[in-house]
Amino acid sequence: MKKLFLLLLPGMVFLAGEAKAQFQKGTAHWGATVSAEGTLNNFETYESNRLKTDLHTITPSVQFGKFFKDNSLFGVKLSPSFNYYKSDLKGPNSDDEYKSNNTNISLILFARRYKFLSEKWAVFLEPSVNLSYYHGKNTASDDETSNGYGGGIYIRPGIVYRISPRFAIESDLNVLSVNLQYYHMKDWDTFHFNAGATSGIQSYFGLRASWYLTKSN
Amino acid sequence: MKKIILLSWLFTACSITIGFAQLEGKKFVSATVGLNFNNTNQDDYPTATNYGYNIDASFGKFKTANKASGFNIGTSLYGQKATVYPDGTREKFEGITGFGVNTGYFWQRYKHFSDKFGIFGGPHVNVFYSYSKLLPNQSSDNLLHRQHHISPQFGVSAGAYYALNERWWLTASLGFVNLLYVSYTIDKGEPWGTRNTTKTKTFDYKLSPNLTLPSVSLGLRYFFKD
Repeated sequence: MKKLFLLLLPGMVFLAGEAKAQFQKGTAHWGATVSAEGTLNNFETYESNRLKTDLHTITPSVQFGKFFKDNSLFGVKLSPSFNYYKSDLKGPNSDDEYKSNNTNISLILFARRYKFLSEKWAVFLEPSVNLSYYHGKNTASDDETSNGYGGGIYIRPGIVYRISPRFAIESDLNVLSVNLQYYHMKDWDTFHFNAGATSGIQSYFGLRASWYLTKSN
Repeated sequence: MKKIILLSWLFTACSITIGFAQLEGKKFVSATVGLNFNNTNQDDYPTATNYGYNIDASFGKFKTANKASGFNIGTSLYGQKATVYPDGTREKFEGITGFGVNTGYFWQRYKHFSDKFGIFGGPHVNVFYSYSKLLPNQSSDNLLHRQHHISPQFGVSAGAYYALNERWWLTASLGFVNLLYVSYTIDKGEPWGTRNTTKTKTFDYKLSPNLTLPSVSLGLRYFFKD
């Protein structure tokens, strides 16, 4: 499957010569996506011990951008992630509860350069700066909180399919990604430095709904 | 692999649409059938046998040349003959270890590139139910597990077809998005031969706008005479 995309990509670029379509200067861009996941678990033994666990994660993301010249835009993306976990053990000899609540908020400033392959398809390259704030809270017998912040730089290509002139579906391809990351946690002071480039492609891509609004349409 | 490259190339490049008027009103069926049997003979161990089948069929109808919808239904059954070793003693097990049923409805829109070849895609809803029994030697905690699993799903899938002749199409799946997935599982585990059951109920949900590229699975579709 990876091979397929690597083979396709030059093909797409080759096709680009014929394309006439473009995003005009002044066009506004909106994009949004959400993913959510969760598990509720209830475990009972014959000795009447009961363990209940709840796990929920939700990650919405919205972005806004404006084309400062044809096919080039500046944008900002807000992408929080909320994670909630609770476990509750009850039994003849035990009664334990544990909760954890983590929030990660990322603010991403990005620029994009689009290249149209046909009327419907376009690819883009997106360099971005990522600032993130992390807040975690664990509750067992005592409350324990941790805070952190981080920053990173990413470059990722993506692909856009225009369903109508105003509406499109897009995906970040992550074919080549470079990221630098620094993390600082208040309580246990860690420092992460992490830089990498990969030519690996995942077998699934996150999809985002996006709108391109010009004044004329 | 070559075929997908070709298909995707055309998907990107082509914009020719040819009227496919003769498809309107046509009914079709496609099915996959699987049968399996395996037998394991290992030194110092008794013979183990597994057997099972699965059948999935979908029935559809073209409303217009570019639109079709229909339903699918599927069933599977598995059994085995094995020896288990609870507490070091040998015991025979023989019987059904699993069965499943599923049904759903799909809507497809078509884009015909030529009279032979085109792509299709659209949403589907499905409900799966399965029952399975895991013998102690197959489960990680050495318990006998009985599991009921029910899962409604909503997604979007895409594929391509190649018309071999008027009656038969070759189809290939190109990708799918499982937008919403919900499942409920009841699992009962017990040490072999006791009634000391532990019971686990699990509810899972997943909202994931992800495009998954599957390994291409090929199918055949047969068109009924009017």
